[in-house]
Amino acid sequence: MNTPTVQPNGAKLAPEAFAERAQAIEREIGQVIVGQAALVRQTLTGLLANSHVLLEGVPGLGKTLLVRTIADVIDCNFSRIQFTPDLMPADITGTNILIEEGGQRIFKFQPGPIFANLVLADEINRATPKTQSSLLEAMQEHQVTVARQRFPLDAPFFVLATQNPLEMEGTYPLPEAQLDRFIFKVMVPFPSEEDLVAIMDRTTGSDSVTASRVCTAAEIVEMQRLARAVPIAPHVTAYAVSVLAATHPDQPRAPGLVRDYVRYGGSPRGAQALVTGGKIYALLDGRFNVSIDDIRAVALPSLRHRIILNFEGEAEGITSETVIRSILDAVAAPTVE
Amino acid sequence: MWILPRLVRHRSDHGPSTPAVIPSDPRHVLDGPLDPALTSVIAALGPHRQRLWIRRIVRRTWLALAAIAVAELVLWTVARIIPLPQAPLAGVAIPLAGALGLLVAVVRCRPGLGETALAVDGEGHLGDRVSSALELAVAFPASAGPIDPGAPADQPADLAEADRFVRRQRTDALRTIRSAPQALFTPRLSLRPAVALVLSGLLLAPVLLIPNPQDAVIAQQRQVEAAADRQADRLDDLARELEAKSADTEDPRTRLAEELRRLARELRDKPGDLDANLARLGAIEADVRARTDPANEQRAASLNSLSRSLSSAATGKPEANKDGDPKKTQKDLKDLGDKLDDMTDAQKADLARQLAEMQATASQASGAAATALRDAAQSLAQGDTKGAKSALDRLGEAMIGAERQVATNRDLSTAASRLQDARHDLADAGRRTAAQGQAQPGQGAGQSPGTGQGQGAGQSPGAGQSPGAGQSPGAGHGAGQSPGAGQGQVAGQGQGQGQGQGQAQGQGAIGGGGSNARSLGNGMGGNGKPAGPTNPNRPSQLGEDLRSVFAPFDRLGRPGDPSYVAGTGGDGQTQQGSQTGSGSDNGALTPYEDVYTDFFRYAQTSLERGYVPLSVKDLVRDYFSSLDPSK
Repeated sequence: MNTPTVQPNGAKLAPEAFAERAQAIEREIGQVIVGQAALVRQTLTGLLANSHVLLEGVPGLGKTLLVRTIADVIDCNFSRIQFTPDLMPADITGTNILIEEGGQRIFKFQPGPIFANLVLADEINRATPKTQSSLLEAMQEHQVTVARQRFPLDAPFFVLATQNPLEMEGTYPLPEAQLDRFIFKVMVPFPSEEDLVAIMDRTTGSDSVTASRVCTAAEIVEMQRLARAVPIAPHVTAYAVSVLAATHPDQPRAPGLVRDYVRYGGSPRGAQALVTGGKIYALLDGRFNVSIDDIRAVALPSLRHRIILNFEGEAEGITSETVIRSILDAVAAPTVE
Repeated sequence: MWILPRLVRHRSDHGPSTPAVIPSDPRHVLDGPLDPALTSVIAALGPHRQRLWIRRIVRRTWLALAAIAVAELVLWTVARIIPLPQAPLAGVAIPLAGALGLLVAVVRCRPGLGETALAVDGEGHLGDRVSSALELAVAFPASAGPIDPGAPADQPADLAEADRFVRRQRTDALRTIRSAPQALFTPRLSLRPAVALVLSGLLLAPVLLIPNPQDAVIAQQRQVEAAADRQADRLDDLARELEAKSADTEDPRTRLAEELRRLARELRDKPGDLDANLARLGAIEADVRARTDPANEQRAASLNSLSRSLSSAATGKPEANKDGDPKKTQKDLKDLGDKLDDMTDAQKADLARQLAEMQATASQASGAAATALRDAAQSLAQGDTKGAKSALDRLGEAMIGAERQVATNRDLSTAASRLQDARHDLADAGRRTAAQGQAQPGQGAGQSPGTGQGQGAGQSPGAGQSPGAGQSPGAGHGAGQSPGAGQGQVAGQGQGQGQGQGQAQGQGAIGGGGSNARSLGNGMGGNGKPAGPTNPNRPSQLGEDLRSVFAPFDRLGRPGDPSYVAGTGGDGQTQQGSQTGSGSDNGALTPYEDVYTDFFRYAQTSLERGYVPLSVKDLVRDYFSSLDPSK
């Protein structure tokens, strides 16, 4: 395995090295996670976008392993929070505890599991909205407020939340406003038979595969900064905006499927997700400009959780993926004859 | 190297594409020198720009050809359904317009630099590198120029980062476009225009090759229009003639001239409106005939006779004023008036008696003349010289007025005949070729009145098929089958034969009718032998007693009874005419010598006015010559 050049902390990363570094991370993760290339790519994109990702998949597909492996690869702190209905906000953020120090009793803040670089919020939809909100505040603000004291979270701060689609009873689905904070919603597919064979070989033998560190947290931060610096041409921005506008049923560009089955379309955060994700995809592809294809590549994960279907859509079994694909067909790439 | 154009189906797999935000040309937007890499990118787009333009030209040419073919197909298909006289012109104009439109489209479709960049990115799968390079140069003008070695080191980090990215991206775009295939933008032939062109061409061939039935319709329309134009000229000529003859603005001829000019304008304005034009002509013709005195020739003959009689009575010379000139009569009456004072009572009484004897003729000539004549006779009988003189003056004026009226009516009658001719000609032009042959027998009949085709039989049922008949006064006005034919100008017969004009005229007024009516020529002159014109093909056979020639009144039956004239049969149809009218039977017997001149003059007038073959004219002249009592 080629070890990529490690930039000294604080040194700017060359744009040409971005793809190399990211591919190294993906390769290393691939040593542990079998298959799921799209999942890895999209999760990494979420990380590099300085945002958070929502995973949805049945248990046992490696979601926790993925986050743990990423943490190992980029040498970051990792914590896992298992959300349960009785989980309290303090269980996430931490709380002040009374300790005796120097002969005096003082309240000292005890950080919660959220104080890590990578946080796995497992089955986030099982916790109460109050508990969910405490996590979401940290995701948005990158800080935690306890007893009027603010405690910033170290960068990079990445939350990978999961939802179990099997157990819907007794759950508290995230409200749409909260779902909007996740840049991507990634569906974790069931692995193929070949991948399952590989998984069996890796996980049931005496040898265990571990991932090596190929990057530092500082480099991740630098890559995050670099990703935002990628320039985007106006016509590509216009295309991203057109795609988002087409998610709204009252817009003239909206296809028939949107008009018939969509209640609410994506917010401007959806366009931000398209553009940010497109920039990272461009860098991952070794380009220094965002292309239309980049926008189209990130459209599904960026918009699938931002489109709210109406009753007819849900009754008809229409999925948001179907709607997004019809939008991509309707809003063709700008061409000249 | 060119690749053969391929037939592609332009099926859009996507919906309508997003309106492209066309990158601007940095050379037109930015000031100052450009980065060499940017300049190289622009230069590298040059060949692709030309190829893109050629592709667009080819596509538009196909579209233009297809559009022209479809338009021609539509035009010539419609031209087979609706007569389009302008179709050939339109057929030429369509390709010219298509060529002009193509030229304009070729000029307008020349791609700009930004369009070329987008097209190269799309077709070459370059990841929007080239178009982004152009747009980023405009968006970051500080990074569009060459690298400035003397740039301050403390440049803001974000600007420095942007500059780094933009220049790297530009270099990447240059590398990519240089490695892009040069065979981009191969001309494509769209399937739909190609199919439309082929189908249109295949359908157009039979449409053009098979004779167009509308060509005959168009030819007929043109014929009608040309005929309308010709008739308009004729009407103008007629109007000029009438105006030259008219006395003042109140003269009926002046008013008719105005109507004719208006009609001529209408014909010129709407030459193709055959039915309306025929209706207008017919309406004016009917109006003119209604205004025309049907007994005009009779009145003229009476006037002529009265003129001679008055001149003879005034001068005492039987041979005075042989021509029957009313002007001379007026002069004679004036002279008579001057001599009244010198006349004895017996002379006055004799003169009064002579004047009284002319009353009947005067009544036929002019009502005013009859009144004046009566007054003069009465005054003379009463010995009122002054009154007699005044009456004689009035009589002279009445004679002049009657002469003017006769002339006016003759002009109106001529105008009506010519209107009829114009209408016939116009109708002929509008008639289809196959139907025109049906008119030939009538025409033949009409044109050879001398052949005794029974003009009075009305073989031209108003269709204008016998212009000759229309113009032979003896052709039977009665039933209206030959409009414009007869004004009942059977002068000399008039005394009981005012009615049945049509028939009477056919009865030998010209001697041609082949009628067997027992009229003038029919030999009821006492010897029972046929006399006078019955069959123009046979010489007339006159009886011994030529002094009395009359037509038995009972020939016509009672007033109002229909009379029939049989022709000898011509090729045309025979129609019976019936005429109702009011005749008067005054039982007058006129010596042959007295009426000979009237008949001869009437015949001369008819010969001059009608379309009569020369041989027939000679025949008529010979006939009258043989009847001349002076020989």
